[in-house]
Amino acid sequence: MVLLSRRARPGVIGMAAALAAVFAAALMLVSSAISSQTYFSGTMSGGQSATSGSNYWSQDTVYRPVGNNFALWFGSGSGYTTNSGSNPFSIFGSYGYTQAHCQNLTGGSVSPVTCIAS
Amino acid sequence: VRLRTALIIAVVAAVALAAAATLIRLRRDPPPAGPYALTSEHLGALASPRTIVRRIPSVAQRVAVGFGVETPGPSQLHRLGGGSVSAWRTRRGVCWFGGYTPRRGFGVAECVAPTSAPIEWIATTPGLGDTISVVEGLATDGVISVRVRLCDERGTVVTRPHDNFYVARLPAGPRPWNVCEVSARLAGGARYNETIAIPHHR
Repeated sequence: MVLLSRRARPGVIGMAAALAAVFAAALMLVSSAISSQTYFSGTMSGGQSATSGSNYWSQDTVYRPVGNNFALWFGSGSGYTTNSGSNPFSIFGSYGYTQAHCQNLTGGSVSPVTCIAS
Repeated sequence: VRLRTALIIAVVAAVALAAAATLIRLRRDPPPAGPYALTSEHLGALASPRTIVRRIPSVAQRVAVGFGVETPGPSQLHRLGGGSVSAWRTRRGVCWFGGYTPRRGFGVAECVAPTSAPIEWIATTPGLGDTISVVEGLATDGVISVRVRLCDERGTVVTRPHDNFYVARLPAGPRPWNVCEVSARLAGGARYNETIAIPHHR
């Protein structure tokens, strides 16, 4: 009996470890599946901003017609960058679990606009 | 009668063809012209063997994939600005990335389509706690110096491009939205001015 219970314990631990491994793998799959988010697409009015969901973002990109001043930043202002003459433009950063932002700094509507966090 | 009909049809067809050709020519944007136009032909460092980046960093591929442009091949990536950024020719124009160092953990990247302006600019503050902001960008071969003027009499910063790229570090305090004008002094003595208005919406 003692021998049996000793054999059973590692089995339970092993099963728990296997379950944990499966859970971790699933988590990794999910996190890789949401490694990119188009958090705005369409017409952005003057002064309007868009915000992504939170994740471990490392890149924030905007596509919009050249000549329109836009800003990108992470979190509450990290990496704040503005530009009007290039399309697209990106910022890279390692700011941990955070949001990505995109803003139309012009006085009028701009279309098409696509903001992507990855 | 048949000959006359054929002649009329031929004339009408010729007129229609000429009109279509004119319409197509009018619809196509004229390519940026002039000795200072920001095109890859006027960025000498992109043709120099001296500036070639031998080992292409992984961030180059990441930027290229993210922007949907060609990844730089061997000898296609060039170091501009004395090494501050790397650039290559693409179908979107000239793409560059820089300032991306794992230690600092921040960088920017952009693709610049051909334009008649001799310079382009991007203004950034790397971190929330940083007090130094930077205005930087591509500059064509004929650009002697670049001047960044800050609003509210906060002064100006003058810098010289190095291998077709300039970096103007602002004094401590001013942020990108405090930049009012970026101008370039050109080899021919002319000056290019671009007024910048960045409303601070946040």
